[in-house]
Amino acid sequence: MVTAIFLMSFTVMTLTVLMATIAAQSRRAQILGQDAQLRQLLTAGAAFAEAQLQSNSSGRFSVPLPEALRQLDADLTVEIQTPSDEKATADVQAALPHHRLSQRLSFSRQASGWRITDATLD
Amino acid sequence: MRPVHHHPGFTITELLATLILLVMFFSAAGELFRSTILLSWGSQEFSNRGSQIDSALFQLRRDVWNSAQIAATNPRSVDLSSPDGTKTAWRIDLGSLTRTDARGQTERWASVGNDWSFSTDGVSLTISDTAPAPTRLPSQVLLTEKGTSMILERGHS
Repeated sequence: MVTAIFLMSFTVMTLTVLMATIAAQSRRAQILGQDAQLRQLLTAGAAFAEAQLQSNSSGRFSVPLPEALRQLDADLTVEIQTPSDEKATADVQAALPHHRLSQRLSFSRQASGWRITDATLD
Repeated sequence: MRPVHHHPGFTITELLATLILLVMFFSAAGELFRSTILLSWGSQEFSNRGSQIDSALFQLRRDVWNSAQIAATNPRSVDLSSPDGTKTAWRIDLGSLTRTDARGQTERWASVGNDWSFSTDGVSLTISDTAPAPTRLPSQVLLTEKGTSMILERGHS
């Protein structure tokens, strides 16, 4: 009787460990997938920020996203500041429900236009 | 005449069958115990290894993200230069992944990167391992510069 109870406990323990591992890996894969999506949005935000700077625009912008991303409640905002004629920074924030990533870009004005000088992923 | 008393008992066949059943039962119990311990240990090991790889990739991705130059000198080492000229070196040697920054400070991830190999296409660092698809870490600086060049080229043409 005691042995049977021990055996059942082991079985329950094994199944619990197995389920916990599968759940953790599934969650990890989901987060990694969302991270990759957010990084792509950040790259799009960087291109947007640079295009705005080349046309001498600054301020806060909400970048229009494709329908597929809007359905996922994705959001991409870019805030451009130009503290001087030679330097500019752009804070790019990409968000999905419950998850967000951001980066700060620094630009300097050169003869050919604005050039990126730093990209820090937060 | 004295009455004959029959004591209740088991035949040798019944005893043998019971013994065989007990052996099978305890053998299964032993295997189950062993599997439980191995699974528990393996699960923890798997989780720790995943965390270590995530931690190394997080740092490597940040370095590549801000790289103005990616130089994969050989499949086991890559030198990254940020736009301000700061250099960071990543090496895979002696079964571990090592990051050395411009000040000479070293960070090490043991047992990570044994089967990795580095390569670059100029704007991103590609890590190939036993997985079917390689991991590609892009440089935001190089991607944006490439975009600028394309815009400028379009403007000139």
